[in-house]
Amino acid sequence: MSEAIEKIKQAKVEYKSEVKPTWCPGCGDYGVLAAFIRALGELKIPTHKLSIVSGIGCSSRFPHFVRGYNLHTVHGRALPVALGVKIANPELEVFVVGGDGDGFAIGGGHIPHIARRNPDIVYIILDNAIYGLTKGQVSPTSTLTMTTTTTPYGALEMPINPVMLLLAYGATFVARGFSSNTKQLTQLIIEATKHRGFAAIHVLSPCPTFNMEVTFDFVRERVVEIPPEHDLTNKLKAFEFAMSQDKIYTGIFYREERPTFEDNLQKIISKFDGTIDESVKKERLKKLFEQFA
Amino acid sequence: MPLNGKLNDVVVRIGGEGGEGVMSAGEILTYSAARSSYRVFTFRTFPAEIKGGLAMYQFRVSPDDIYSIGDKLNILMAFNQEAFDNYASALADDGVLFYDPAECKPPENFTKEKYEVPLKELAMSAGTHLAKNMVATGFLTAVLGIPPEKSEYQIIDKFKRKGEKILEQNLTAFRSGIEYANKYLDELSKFRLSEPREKEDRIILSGNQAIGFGAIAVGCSVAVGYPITPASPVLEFLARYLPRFGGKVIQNEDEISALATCVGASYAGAKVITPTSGPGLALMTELITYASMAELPVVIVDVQRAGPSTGMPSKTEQTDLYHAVFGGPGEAPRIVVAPANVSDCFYETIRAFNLAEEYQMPVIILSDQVLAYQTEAIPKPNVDSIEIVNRVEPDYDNQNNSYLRYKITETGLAPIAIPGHPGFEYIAPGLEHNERGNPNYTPKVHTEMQKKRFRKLETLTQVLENDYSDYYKVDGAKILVISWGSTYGAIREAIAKAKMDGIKVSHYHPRILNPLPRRKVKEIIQSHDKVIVVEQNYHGQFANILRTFIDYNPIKVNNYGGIPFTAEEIYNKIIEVSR
Repeated sequence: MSEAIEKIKQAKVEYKSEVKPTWCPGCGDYGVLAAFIRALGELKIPTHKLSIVSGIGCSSRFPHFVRGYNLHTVHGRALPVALGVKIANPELEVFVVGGDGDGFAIGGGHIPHIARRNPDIVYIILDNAIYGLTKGQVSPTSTLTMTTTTTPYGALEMPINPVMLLLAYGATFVARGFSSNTKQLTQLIIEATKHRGFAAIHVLSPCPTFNMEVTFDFVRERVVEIPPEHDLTNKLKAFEFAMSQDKIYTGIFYREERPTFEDNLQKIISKFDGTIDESVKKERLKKLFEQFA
Repeated sequence: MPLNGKLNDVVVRIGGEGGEGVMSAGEILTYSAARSSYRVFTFRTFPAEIKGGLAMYQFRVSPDDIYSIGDKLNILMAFNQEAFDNYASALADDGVLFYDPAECKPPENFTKEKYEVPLKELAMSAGTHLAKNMVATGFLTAVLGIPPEKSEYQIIDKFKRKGEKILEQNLTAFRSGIEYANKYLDELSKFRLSEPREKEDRIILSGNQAIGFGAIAVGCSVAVGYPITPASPVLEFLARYLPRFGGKVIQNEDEISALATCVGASYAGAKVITPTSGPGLALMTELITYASMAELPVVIVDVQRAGPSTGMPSKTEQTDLYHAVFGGPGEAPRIVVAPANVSDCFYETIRAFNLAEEYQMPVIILSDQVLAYQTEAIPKPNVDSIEIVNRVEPDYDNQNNSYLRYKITETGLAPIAIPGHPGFEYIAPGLEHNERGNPNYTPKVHTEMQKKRFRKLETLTQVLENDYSDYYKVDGAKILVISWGSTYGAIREAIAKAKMDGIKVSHYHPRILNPLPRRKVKEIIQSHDKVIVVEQNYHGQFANILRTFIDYNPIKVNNYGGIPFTAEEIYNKIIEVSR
């Protein structure tokens, strides 16, 4: 057995939880889970330092399948929950995992604000362009005119372009992967985790049960890797790759260094002497009361 | 006759155009009086517009303890005609009107005592018409007999940043107000306050500030909110002061994300608070039930305002009780706490955090618009005697990978692991789950887990059954008043007034509204002939909750106009019921 396979086996033992995935056979999400576990093994993140946060949807079941200090919360709110985990304990490696409905429909209002703040969180969006858990309704990334249970005469809305949106909102790391390309996806997750700041990976993860348009074949025929010479600091060029209609580019689109939100919060505290023990706090509270006397 | 009984207890209202400095005049007088060891109590309304419209500041001051804003006015200071037209009817029969003759002409048929105070004229001779409010401040300082140096100190503090010239003009205006008052000192001596009985260490806080102080004192380390009237000052207070205690404060993009971030931070071990008002509480509802399901401690402050919908954001109401107790998808236990006054805002916030930590569930503090801005001089809390409860964590040394976060126990409580400890990884689930936290939808597990979660409330109920500190029992009383929240002061005074008429009235004013100690409440109710439940809402929400859980139908006394009950209204009801 090769060393690589042995490593993957070990990672499975360490990170896979006692709960077995509930996804349909052939679901793209299995590929993402495999890549995620491999990346954790490579990064050697201990499970007690790992926190995976999700909302609701097929892919949001993810935290149940990996060992860690995880939260499976409510629909659309995983990002602000993860923000709380990160600011309360910046030592934790915080991941948010969820689908296109959770992220871009009900939870769409949170992405710009998380991007503005730039906490050191990795956001993996598993995009199947359909609502799977509720059995086949239209999603914000479903193609125009797509027929679904709630759009029996065809979808009337233009789909969102997730990579463009993440770039425009100011995410400091933006990448795209495909659930069938585990090798590339593993690498993207590793790079995103190493990035200090808000790192978003848009993963095309087809649904074989409810989406007959955006299928594995549909994606496979269109994916192209971003050429290696692409300058990761060139945002305009990143937009160009993201806007491509015929090809679907994968890889890292954009990367930028910016102070993280948790560092900035800590800076405010440091203005008043960082380390504060209980007795100092008591003295400060007494002084503060004096200001109101 | 004013209810106050004695003239040493003075209710003053200042009214004028928004932007004329009505609020600062009132604040300077309030703080000067409080710093001279007088008891003070304030009430204010802002005009709906940012500038302009009628603004009003009312304060009550006395050398003795006071519990409410009082009833009829002893003094009305009218900056303009609109203030006179709107507020003259609130003057007591023996009250006195002070008015600026340049802006206000009381009609012929106004027969109460009145004096001209040329605010504008005196301000102009001090150098600027903008100092009208300082003339009024000086005048009232002299009339009430507040030491002028206390007020001067406030004025210097307020204007020193605006430059030497402006400060000098305002001080001159203030002194000319005092001088002018000296002309009438004999006639107005009845309003002069006698010396405060004791010099006591007090601090002056609004309800909103006291909540902020409570959070700091109990060790809150994360506060997240979204601006909303009348709760924003809580977030503003924490944003300024919490970082000095190592805490982190964020203004989030909405109330949903505010609670979401609190929930995440709580899971990671922080003590968290999010201040909001009714519309924000509505948005938080789903996550409240998540925190209840995942058994995470969070403190939510609802500074209630008049609804429904946007309603009257700057007016008061007690209408979120149903929502706080029952709101949300499914049935999710939570604790509801209602402070009665400014002092309570401090201590009940501490208690709310302690209860959240101990019982591992959301705690909702129901304050309201009146309490939010009510300013009182409260005894300075003793920092060293504050009791702090922290969540019980598992024994991390005893690690065998069999940690059951949601273990079914007799009390319903099981230790919470904090992330970072190897071997205690667990998932905080919104799905129904087994003891490990893993999804499980069987009827048996759901039934057992619902029981477990509600058993925590039963555990708390047992403690409350034996706590009679909220019960103001009067031997031989046939009438019982039940109330909650900011109505406390007015009711205490109404009961005191009734006592002077020989009518004995007991009072039950619970600070914890959910869970209800049913046995105790039943016992209190049954030992009286007539029970009145006083609330600022249409439904009689607490009365209806009592009816549901105690099976008793009380007499409801409700007010839902947006302004607080006066002691007189409640006194009249007591008299009516006693007949």
